[in-house]
Amino acid sequence: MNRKRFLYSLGISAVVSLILLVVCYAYMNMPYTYGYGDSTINQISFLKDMFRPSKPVDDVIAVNVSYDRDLIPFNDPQGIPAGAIDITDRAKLLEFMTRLKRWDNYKYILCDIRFDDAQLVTPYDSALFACIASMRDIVVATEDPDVAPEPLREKSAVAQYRVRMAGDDFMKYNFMTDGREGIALKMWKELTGGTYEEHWWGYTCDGKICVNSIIPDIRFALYDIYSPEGDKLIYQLGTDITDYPDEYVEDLFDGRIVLIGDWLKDDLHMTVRSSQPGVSIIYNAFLCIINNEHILPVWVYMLLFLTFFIEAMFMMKDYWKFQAPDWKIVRWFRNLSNVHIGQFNVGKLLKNVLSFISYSTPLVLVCEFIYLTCGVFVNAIIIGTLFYVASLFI
Amino acid sequence: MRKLFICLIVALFCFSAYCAADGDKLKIIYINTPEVVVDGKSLHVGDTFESGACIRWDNPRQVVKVINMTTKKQQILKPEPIVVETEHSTADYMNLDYNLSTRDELQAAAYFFLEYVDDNGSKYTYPLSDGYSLSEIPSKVALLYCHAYSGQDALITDDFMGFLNEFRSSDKLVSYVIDHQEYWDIYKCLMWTLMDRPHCDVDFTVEDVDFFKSLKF
Repeated sequence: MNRKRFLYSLGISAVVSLILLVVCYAYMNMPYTYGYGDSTINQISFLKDMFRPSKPVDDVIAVNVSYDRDLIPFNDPQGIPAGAIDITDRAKLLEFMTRLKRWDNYKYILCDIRFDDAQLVTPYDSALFACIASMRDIVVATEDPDVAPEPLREKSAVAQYRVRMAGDDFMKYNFMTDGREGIALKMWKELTGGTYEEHWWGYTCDGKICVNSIIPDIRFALYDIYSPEGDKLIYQLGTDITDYPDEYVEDLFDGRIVLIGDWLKDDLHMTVRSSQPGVSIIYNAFLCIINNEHILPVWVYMLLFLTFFIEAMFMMKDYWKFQAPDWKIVRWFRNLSNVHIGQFNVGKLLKNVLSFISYSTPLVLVCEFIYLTCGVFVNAIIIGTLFYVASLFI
Repeated sequence: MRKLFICLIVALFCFSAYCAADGDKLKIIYINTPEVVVDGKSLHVGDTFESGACIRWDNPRQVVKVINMTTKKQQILKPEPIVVETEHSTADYMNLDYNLSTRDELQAAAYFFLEYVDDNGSKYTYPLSDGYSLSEIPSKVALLYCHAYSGQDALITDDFMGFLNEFRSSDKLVSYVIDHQEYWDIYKCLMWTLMDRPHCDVDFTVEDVDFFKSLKF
């Protein structure tokens, strides 16, 4: 081993690892996943589900609007009548909101219904918007707060996710999108009074470095209207709530987070753990941020740095004259280049494949471990390929 | 003193046992039959009973919706086990089947019924599907009782039925009901039931009929 070259390699490896760490942080903050990520995430989420199955929680109440619909006339983009379209029954929603405001016993309201489309107008809108605007602790979904109805702008937050070209499944939730707050973030800020800031280099939450984009673990899920014991899990806006007098339903909301949305019909998205309604995904993202899961522990960065460092040193092993132990398998690997089938050097091909695997596998294992424990995913294959290609030139 | 202490402990134990045995009160808020027999007594909507009481089920499709007066949570009681169609299990990671078709057709034909009660109280049931036009239903049908999952009930008379047949699948109907708000709920319910809710198999009683007959459209 050449000591000078070894020290030089140590320095290079440290710099390369630091650069890769910065690249990884930027990758974690990307609003969507790349490459083979989606299928890998889906497959290893199986392990999460085995050890921590998703379940209902008691401090929320789900209110479904899938079956409380109103038909209103609809025009095509050119303004020509195109028929009718169904929207949430705003008369019932107004009644519900009015009662919630009067009871004033809820903890928070997440209303995952957008009112952005200026074409979809009902006679109840002005009263509904005025009621929501005057309520405490409520957030309403929007595509963009600037296009939300004026009275609701202060109460609105973005309810979107972004996918890459061909995908349409939900993967990553962004707490901020293009500088605009997502619903989960607004909820968290209003409930905890915390601060969340975007910088040119990344994001901080209460002064700590965090990631903006996370694959939320679906720990809260409601798959059915009733439990096997017959308990109501998802309450229908009309037939379970507004149809009854206050004395029957008021206590249902006492101290609970009210999740209003389309739980059962249209707003369903495929996630790492089955199909989930949008409102459920947002609430799970809220659980992530309230449990500080977006603030990665230091060991994650250290583990990534160490893995990159070891791989970089391994990549430069010939430069610093690494003396491999004289084991049988090492000798076998050295002699692999001499294996031919006819004119074709099969051994060399096999050696290259094994070399690629040796760069990728540790990274894959580390990245999957980090995903399973922290919910952020780094595409190990891209980095493994980088190392392998670089090793061919060194 | 020691005896007093033991007596207190025993009394406390007895009281705890009494409290534990005393079930929650359940208030009936919906029954899909005129009444339900609980502990030998006929109960109706608004009545209460204890949570462990013996319910006599008259038919396998009977269902009672109640409010637990202690927790204020709603629940349903049925004679048969509640089938939970959990969409997700660990096995789903291995195999998942998706439909590449709309869900109408067979389900609609099998589960969606239009029910009619004539002046003598006799009940007729007509299966409905997309291919079964409203106009094929005998013109003497006086009532259409739609009970969708949305919980909206509607009564539609011959006149209104004729009106619907005339304007069905027409934009004119939408603009008409917008101009005539009194038809709004009926139109909504009917359209949603026909288009989207293939579950409309609900019995109704003579009292229901009398009540609905008293309404005019």
